[in-house]
Amino acid sequence: MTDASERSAAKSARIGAAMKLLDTRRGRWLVVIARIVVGGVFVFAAVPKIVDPHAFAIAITNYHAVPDVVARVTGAALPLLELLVGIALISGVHARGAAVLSAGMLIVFAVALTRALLLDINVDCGCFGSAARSEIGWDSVVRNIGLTALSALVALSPDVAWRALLGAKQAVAAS
Amino acid sequence: MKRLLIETLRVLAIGVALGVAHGVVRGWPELPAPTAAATTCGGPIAEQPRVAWIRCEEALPLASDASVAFVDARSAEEFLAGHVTDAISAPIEETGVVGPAVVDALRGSRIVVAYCDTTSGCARSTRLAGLLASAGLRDVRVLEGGMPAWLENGYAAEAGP
Repeated sequence: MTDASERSAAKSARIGAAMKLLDTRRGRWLVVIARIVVGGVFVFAAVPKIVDPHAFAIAITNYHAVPDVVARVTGAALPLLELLVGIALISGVHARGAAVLSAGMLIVFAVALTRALLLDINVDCGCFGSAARSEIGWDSVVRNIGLTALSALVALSPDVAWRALLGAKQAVAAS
Repeated sequence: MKRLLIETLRVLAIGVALGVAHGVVRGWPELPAPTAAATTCGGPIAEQPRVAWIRCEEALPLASDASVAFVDARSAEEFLAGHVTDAISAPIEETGVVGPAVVDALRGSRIVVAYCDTTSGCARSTRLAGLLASAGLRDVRVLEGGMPAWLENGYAAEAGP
């Protein structure tokens, strides 16, 4: 077996072990909590942006990272995607797919925040629209990384539906 | 893995479709037109935010509008000697930054008008306006001619804190 294939096999084994761990009773509860936390943050962040897309578009332009047309389109469209991802995570319908998207969005946000911080751009975060104005800081980056980790947990879990909890309880009762 | 990819693409497709529909129905958000660029004076802003100029005669009716705030970029001493009625002091040259208290006080304002004297072509007020715009304030303008022009026109001013 080559080194590359050995590494690939070891990686698959690690992912398999993590998935097995998430399939235990505690693991399933952890995934449910992760879903609710990330989903709740996404819904909480999306609603004020949907109410006031103008403020969100301006918050995007303040990062000086994308052309105005991208800021305008993103300002109107992204909050709906965030809301849908949040609802999917909380409801458990397509939650793993939603977790992949939430992780992707959170990584993009973290990169934008880091870039602004490194350039010393004094900018309002825009993270929660006009509901909670706050200057950007490394705490925002850490929060995004934490939420990305929780999203990854949901995406890796074998079964994220609410029935998974019921199944876990039945399994415990049977044992 | 295939199921995960399908789920992801489904959520993405529905989310993008909803987002585009939202933009089409409510209209894509308009951004303030770019006009004057703020001077950075070697400050922390790497790129120039956009602020607009406003003439004295345009600013006068706004002075009586409660949703419009005037902010004075000059030194505290110059502010005490005389400023636009109800203006907020933000001595940019002394502090080099805009304090969170000033930004918070201006958050609820529909329009913020920054002014100074006319030194170096309103350098302090354009820098202050740039910082305020970067802090997320929507409509920040710089008063042409600054405080001297305001006084020359005989518009309302007051002395003291």
